[in-house]
Amino acid sequence: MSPIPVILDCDPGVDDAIAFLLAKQLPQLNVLAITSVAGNVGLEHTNYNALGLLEFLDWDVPVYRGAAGPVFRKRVEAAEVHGSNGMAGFDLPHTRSEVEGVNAWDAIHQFAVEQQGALEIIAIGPLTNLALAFLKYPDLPQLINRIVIMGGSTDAGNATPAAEFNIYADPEAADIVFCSGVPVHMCGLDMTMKALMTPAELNQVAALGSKQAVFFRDVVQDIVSFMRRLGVIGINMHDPAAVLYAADDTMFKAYPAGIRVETKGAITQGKTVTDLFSDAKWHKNSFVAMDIDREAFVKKVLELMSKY
Amino acid sequence: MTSKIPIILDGDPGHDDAIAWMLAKASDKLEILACTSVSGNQSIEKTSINARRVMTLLGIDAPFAMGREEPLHGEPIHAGNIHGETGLDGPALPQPEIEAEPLSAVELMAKTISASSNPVTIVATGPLTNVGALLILHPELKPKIAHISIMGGGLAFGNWTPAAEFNILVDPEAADVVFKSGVPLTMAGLDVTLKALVFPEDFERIRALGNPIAVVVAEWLDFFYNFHRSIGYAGAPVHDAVAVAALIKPEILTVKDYYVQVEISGDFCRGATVADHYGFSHQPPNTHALVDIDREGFIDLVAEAAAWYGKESE
Amino acid sequence: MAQKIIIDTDPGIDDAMAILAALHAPELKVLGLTTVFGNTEVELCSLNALRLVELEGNDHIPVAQGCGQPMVHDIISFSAGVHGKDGFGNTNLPLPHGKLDPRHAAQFIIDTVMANPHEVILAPLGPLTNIAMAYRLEPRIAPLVKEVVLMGGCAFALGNISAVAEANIYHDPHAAEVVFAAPWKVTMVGLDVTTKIVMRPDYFEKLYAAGNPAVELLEKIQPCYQAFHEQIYGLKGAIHTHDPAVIAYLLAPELFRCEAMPVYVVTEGLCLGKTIADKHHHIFRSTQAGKGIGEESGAAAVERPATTIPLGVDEDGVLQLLFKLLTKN
Repeated sequence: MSPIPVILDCDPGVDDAIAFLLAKQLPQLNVLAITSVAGNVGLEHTNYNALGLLEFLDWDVPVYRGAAGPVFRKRVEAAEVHGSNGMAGFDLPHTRSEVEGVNAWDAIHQFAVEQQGALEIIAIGPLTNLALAFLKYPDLPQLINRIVIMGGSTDAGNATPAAEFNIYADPEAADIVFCSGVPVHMCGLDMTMKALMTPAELNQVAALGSKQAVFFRDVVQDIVSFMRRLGVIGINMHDPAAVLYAADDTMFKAYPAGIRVETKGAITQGKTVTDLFSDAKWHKNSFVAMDIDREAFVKKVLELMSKY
Repeated sequence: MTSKIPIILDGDPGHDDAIAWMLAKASDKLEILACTSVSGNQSIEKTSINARRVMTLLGIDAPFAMGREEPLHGEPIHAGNIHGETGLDGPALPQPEIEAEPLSAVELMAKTISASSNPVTIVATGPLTNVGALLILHPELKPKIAHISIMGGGLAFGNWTPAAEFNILVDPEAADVVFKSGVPLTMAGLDVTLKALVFPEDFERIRALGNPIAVVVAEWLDFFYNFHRSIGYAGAPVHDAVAVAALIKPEILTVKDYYVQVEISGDFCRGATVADHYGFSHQPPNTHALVDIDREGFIDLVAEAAAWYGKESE
Repeated sequence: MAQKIIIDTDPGIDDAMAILAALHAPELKVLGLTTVFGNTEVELCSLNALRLVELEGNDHIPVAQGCGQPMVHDIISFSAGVHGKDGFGNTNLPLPHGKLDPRHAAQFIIDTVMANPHEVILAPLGPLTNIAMAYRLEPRIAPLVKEVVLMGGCAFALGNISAVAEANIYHDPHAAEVVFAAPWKVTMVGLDVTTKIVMRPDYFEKLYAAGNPAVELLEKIQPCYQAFHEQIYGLKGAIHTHDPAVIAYLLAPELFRCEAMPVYVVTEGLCLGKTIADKHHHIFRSTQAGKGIGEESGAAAVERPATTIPLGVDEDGVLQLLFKLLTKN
């Protein structure tokens, strides 16, 4: 089977970095482009980090600069998790630069046209770029096969009691994406909170010896400490889990669901309201990943990282 | 001898309300001081007649007062599709011998609580309209309310809408008042009540007890079971009974404490109970949320309560 | 026969003027005062209400205390800057002798309306919490209330507590929404007219010269209110005439030019407490079409009753009327 043509829309971001490490080695994925967006930190950092990661991996993929903030709202960020530069203080210098003069949303449309309907999007940051693309190009829904996102939660949030960060950061954009007509596969906290890697497993990765494998362990250490203060031993591999789901969903359990984003509630803004079985019987516009085989996940990570 | 917990039963009977009241009457741990009706599963006229019939059937000898049709804010919502046209379809019930007091449910609650020497527990198995109104009109009685045991809400999902459970959705403003009140709350939400399932072998066990009330209880469960099977449930969730079980057999329930807020606005989340899992709001917990139940222990409780009515008549 | 009224109030300096004017009017029979939070805490409002009935020997009029908080929201603020912490301009007057009626204000309203069917006008001068709760507790009062004539809201004028909201509505928007939706006749005496009735220093000078207990009390408590109007509106000792306008309307509706239209209240967001006067029935039409405002709660089959809204006023007429009432001995 030929690999799936994908665009990785991201806000690197520590776990985005891990997602890059895995995506490069996944034979099921053909990453055509990276689009950057403001999210975990500001666009000046996420775009810089995307370019730096590609240089570090010696991976030749074009980068398109995306949105510097949400569609309607003031920008929020998660620098306390990812560090003020978004990469836990690691500087990833580079000589390459993003593609001049083409915005992320225009690039998404161009690639979608070229791929004649086969393109898939893996979006692991706020969904601003995708929403802008849908708003600008009405033919886009017919040209995208599937969208896999890291974001949302059917239950508790991690940005507020009700909302997950990527959705909370741009709820209106997220709702546009869920309503686009393209099937959205939501890899949210229900699943990613179970995609945990322990410190011992991180050491196993580092023991593989490559500079990429050592970076894998080292870049997440601040988050490991952060999580330990919250009483969690290890790190949730939110974005990497979504990338693995996009490549091969056999280690996951996902269910058809109707999903909309609350944009107006006083305490629920940014909640991905998920209808699995209510009497409202919403149209099932999405799939929601609820579970992951953690052991298989860790094994897969080790296998991919051993390729460096 | 330990003294009984004085309670007020506030509900919208309703099959599962009726079974909740059946448990309460049979328990030697509870003393029913008053019953009040609320608009919810059906209109206030229907839930009030049902309440009076159920009181008559069970022999609950306590004053009763009617609530009102409309929620604190907005329009009423009913669940006729679940409980049938009468709001308590199924077995024939006795004509009510209990008359409604000439005051509102809220004033009966206030009067009862004021007159009780011990703080009173309210078991609210319908929308929180009466309880919310009580707290708005009589905040001075808060210290005399020991506890409010609610069937409603949930931590993860809704049932009437994706985000909201029926009882909270009908009157979110009232629920908001209750959750903000500072009175100790137990929330029997969908997390636990969808696990309080009854299957045919369970209600056959109850039917076989043979006393007239056990037979009626079995028929209610039979009706409730058939409806829920028709919409894809494995068994009949006896939601409201869990709010009473929490008072008389707490050992079968698993509790987690959360700070819970009620969403009263929004496009999709009106009526959602939002629990703060990670302490974002820096508020101490206001709710004992029931999250799991020993189903076998629950069925035993229902069956033992139904059996009590047989002994009673001897 | 005198018109029976219940004044629901949060006294409050302009409430005091309104209540004293009503007590002086032989055309009105005040069946009771019910108190609510608003200008200050409800307990302090109740003390002021008792002081007002006792001032000129009206002790027989019951005072029932009501809600100390809005139906849903937390209390946003008291209007201490306007009316003083004690509600009477920080004058800290001697305590009243009388006792409160044992009933809750909402219950007092229900009992009184049921005992006097079709005869009672409710005159709310504060947040509408008691009125809404009385209706929610006993909806049968709606057709039995002759009319609700309230001070609050603004149809087309600017707000006075926010850019768009009037204070009484803002303090309990949910209650107001219940009152405007309920099936009874409502007249909303709002900022559209009350800001056009201006009492100026020379008016007060003549008023105080009357020397009766009512104007003596007003002279004591009024400076705080004048200072607020000076600070916000630059009125140089003059004030807007809010609550007394309700009494003027009850006695002389011909001094007001009114229109009738449904009123909706915004219960969240930047426009919290705004009264939307829907002259062209947009909201009802949008609910019928199943889109726009109200979509979530489903289409309403029947439009809510129209509220009567005074939009024009004979300022001199009202001022003279109030002058005559207040200076009566």
